[in-house]
Amino acid sequence: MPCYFAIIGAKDNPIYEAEFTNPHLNQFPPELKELNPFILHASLDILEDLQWQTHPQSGAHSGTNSGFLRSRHSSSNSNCYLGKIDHFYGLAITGYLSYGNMKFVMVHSGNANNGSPVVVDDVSVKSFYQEVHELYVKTLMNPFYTLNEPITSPVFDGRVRALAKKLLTK
Amino acid sequence: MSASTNSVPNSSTGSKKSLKAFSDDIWKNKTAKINAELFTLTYGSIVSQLCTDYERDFVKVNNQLFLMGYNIGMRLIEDFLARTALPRCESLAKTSEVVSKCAFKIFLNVTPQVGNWSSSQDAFSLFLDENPLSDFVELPMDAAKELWYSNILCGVLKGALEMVQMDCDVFFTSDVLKGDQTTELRVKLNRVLKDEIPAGED
Amino acid sequence: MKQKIINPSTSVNTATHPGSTGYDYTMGPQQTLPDLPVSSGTIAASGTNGGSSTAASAHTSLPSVYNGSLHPHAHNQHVSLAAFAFLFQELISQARNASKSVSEIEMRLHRNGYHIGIRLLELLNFRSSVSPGFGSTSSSRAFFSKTSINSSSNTLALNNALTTTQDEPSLAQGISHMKRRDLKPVEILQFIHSTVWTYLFGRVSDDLVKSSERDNEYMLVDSAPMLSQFISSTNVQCDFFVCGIIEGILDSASFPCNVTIHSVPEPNFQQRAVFVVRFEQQVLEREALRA
Repeated sequence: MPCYFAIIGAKDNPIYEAEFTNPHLNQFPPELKELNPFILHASLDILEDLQWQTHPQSGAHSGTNSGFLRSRHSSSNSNCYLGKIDHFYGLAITGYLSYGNMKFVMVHSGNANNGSPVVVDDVSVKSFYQEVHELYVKTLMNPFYTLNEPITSPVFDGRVRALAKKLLTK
Repeated sequence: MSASTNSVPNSSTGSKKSLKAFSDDIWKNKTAKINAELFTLTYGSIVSQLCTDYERDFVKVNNQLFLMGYNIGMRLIEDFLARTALPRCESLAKTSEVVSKCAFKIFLNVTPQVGNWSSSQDAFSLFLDENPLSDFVELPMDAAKELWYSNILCGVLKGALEMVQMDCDVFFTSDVLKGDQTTELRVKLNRVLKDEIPAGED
Repeated sequence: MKQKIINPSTSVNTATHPGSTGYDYTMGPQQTLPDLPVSSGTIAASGTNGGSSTAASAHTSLPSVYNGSLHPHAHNQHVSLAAFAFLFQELISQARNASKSVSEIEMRLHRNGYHIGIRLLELLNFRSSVSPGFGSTSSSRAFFSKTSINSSSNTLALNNALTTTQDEPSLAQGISHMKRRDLKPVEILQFIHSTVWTYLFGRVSDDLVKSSERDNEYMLVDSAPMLSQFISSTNVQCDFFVCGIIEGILDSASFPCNVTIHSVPEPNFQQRAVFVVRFEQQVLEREALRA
């Protein structure tokens, strides 16, 4: 499935964005491609709400009407990976927070355009986020990197895409 | 700043064990230590702050780092001599060995390789396989050409050697941060400042 | 439709160095192009091989932070306290020379600390998530140090590590559960009191107390602050550096606050320092909402 991934900074500014596509899979149709950033930004409110909840993944009393849509997964004690946080016409949106509250967000699209909801594989999506989190920490450790600035390194980009290929668009 | 420790006669501290074992012992048993990453991060914050202060004029940053190192070197040599009680070095070859195996070891816990001697034996290089200053560092593109990230080390050596009457030029010739294969620090002895030994010390 | 605009320089670049341009926020997200080799990083890293010979494209020949490891044993764990003391003294005298007032000196030291604090929050929490013992065997230590330090000598191995990420021992592979993000002021202060203090100074701080007078105020006590022990005869509070570290951690964890240092000597601890953390009102309001 094609995915649109972004890291969003403290001022809702994009720090990094990428589309993960694969020759054997559908790509985002042009009209959707343009919408992705908006879909994603619409989910940020939900993410910010979940950010301060003690059990963000228990879902049922999340206080938002999207709670029941979120996926269940085993490690309910974690509050970095938030699982599926939102949906939009058959697209699923997942979220992850770093310790410095960088927002990692992704729009997952299904293969077919039949509007059926995308099934998110929490195990691989979570490992994808954790691996990217590590790359982010390495970025931050560089004294020349300024918090909340875009990550322009081609190596970072290459690594993230390699992870996506391994874990998401297989 | 007293030069008394510099002029300990050679005979009094005849080194029975190797310099390496001697330094390892000082490092292991007689040195208060601190998290190397705090050191790395602190240096990183200094360099990045300087780059901002000098509006990314990296030549100025190099000079400032060198100056900071120079100030450190002048004070550090006293601490070094007090802790090691090493005698005056009779040759530059001996100096190079003390710097790499002893000074670098007991301050930074690394041992650079000495090499690349000039034909007249008045200049050598220190090859830093490990450099605690530059862990986690990637130079931004605009800095890659001019900035010598670890230039403070040159200043430290310059200052310290000057205090033991050795007038040297100390500078980097390559740095892995710039994409070079090695990090090479060059030390070139200009002259020995004999006149400046305080009278009556010998 | 920006994908229809063909930028000549970009297209040339794509042909010779596919995908090596990195993220550009003015361009927006780029696709992973079908015929690309996955690791654009290979190109950047293989440049390290050439060194000066491939100096033509300087930016592709720089080594990368991503080839290093975050493992705490990836490099030497200690330097001498003396080396740090010399550096710190020089940091202070430089701040003095560049400042016109005492408060400006303190502000500069604070800024240096803040720079470190925002990094420690991510680094230390991320490391705490890794299962104990992961990657700490002697063989992997050797591997880590090789990749992180001597990146130029075995470019082949490096390229492999880049193309097939499973060869690269990322710390994330040793994580079964991420450590929870701290949500309450007390939790994050305990993290500073224990994890951060131990990391920085080799021991936990001496006390963490909540103010009895003000709701938003907490105090971290250090009876013998390490940094001020080698700074003598000065009215500049060197521990503003530590205030900066604390504030950097709390601020980036979304606990905006103000941290000040107060010297409160006791008979046996002349240097005893109390760091006072005052959270902004919004932190308390957030707390109240969740309760």
